[in-house]
Amino acid sequence: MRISEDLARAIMVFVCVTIVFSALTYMALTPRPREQFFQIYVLGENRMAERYYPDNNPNISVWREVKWYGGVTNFMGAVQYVVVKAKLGNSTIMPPSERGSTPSPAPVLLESRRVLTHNETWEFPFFWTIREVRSVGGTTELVLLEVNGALIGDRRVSAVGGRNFRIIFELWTLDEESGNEVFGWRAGAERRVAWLQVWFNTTSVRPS
Amino acid sequence: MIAVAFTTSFSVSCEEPVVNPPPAYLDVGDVFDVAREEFKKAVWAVKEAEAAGAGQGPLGVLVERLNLVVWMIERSEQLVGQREVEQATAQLRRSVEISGEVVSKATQLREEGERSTYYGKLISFGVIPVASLLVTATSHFSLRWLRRREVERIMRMEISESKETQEGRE
Repeated sequence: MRISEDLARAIMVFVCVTIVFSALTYMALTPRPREQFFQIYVLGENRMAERYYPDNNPNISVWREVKWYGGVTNFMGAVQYVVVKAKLGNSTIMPPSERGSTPSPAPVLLESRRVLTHNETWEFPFFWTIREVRSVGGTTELVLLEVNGALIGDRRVSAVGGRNFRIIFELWTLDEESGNEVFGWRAGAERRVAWLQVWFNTTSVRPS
Repeated sequence: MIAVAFTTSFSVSCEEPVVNPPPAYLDVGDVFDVAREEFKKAVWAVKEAEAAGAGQGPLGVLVERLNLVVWMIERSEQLVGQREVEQATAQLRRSVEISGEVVSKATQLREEGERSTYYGKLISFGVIPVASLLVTATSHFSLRWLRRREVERIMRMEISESKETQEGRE
């Protein structure tokens, strides 16, 4: 059986158009890969990246309230359960490590948890006050802190001359493989972490 | 057949969610473990529903419920610190119920999302041969029409001697 030239041409056009339309439909229906990450930040008392200390003085005196606002934005493209751990450290304690994805061993002051949808930002207050310090032989120890209204007295950290304390904020997520809360998150095959810190000094002088 | 499938899914979605509260003999520590475990299951269920293509509106409602569970567990921790163990246990049991409801709703959303994604793909790829056929037919008949018009144009031509030939002869 011989097919006419017109029919052969029509079949050729049909096949080509089908291939092109199929490719376009596949591209339209397949979600594009996008970068998966979280954003974490800490703002000062005006909810801006300034005025982190009362009167802009990083030497925090006892009973002086410091007002910060922490925030996390989810750009993972899916619902995520996040935990922000605020830890109290000094200059010698190990900070979190990006290379090993290991958190800081500093004692935890506060854990805040939230489930976030994609592109959602969550802000939480972090108001803290040094309630009691003890100075022994040139070393100042933070004995009692108040964080968001809760008294915390069993996580003592000291620093020479009361200088270079820091509060470390770490971002933890719920790991799909282990089912546990882990430091950082999984983005494809690699592991990423996000953390930040704010330094301060302390004086045992009470504000007038 | 499709109508039957949708009717069945609707009847399933009207059923009350199955929630298994923690047994009464558990102490508060164990109830905390159960509450956290159920919460994790609820988070996974919501993530699966989202991956299956569930709508953002219903998902947002489930995320709010999950955040309520987070708050209840944290509140229970505070109550235990204040030695209000009974209140904490009651709060945790309620959180387990809410987590169960979230799992149930998320499962429905996942099934609906999977179904709508499936039919969406089916319709999209099903339209392709029809569209290709339309394009092929249009191009075929357009070509035939052009060819016929060209033939008719040629057939309408009159044979006449050009001016150059006449001048050359003269």
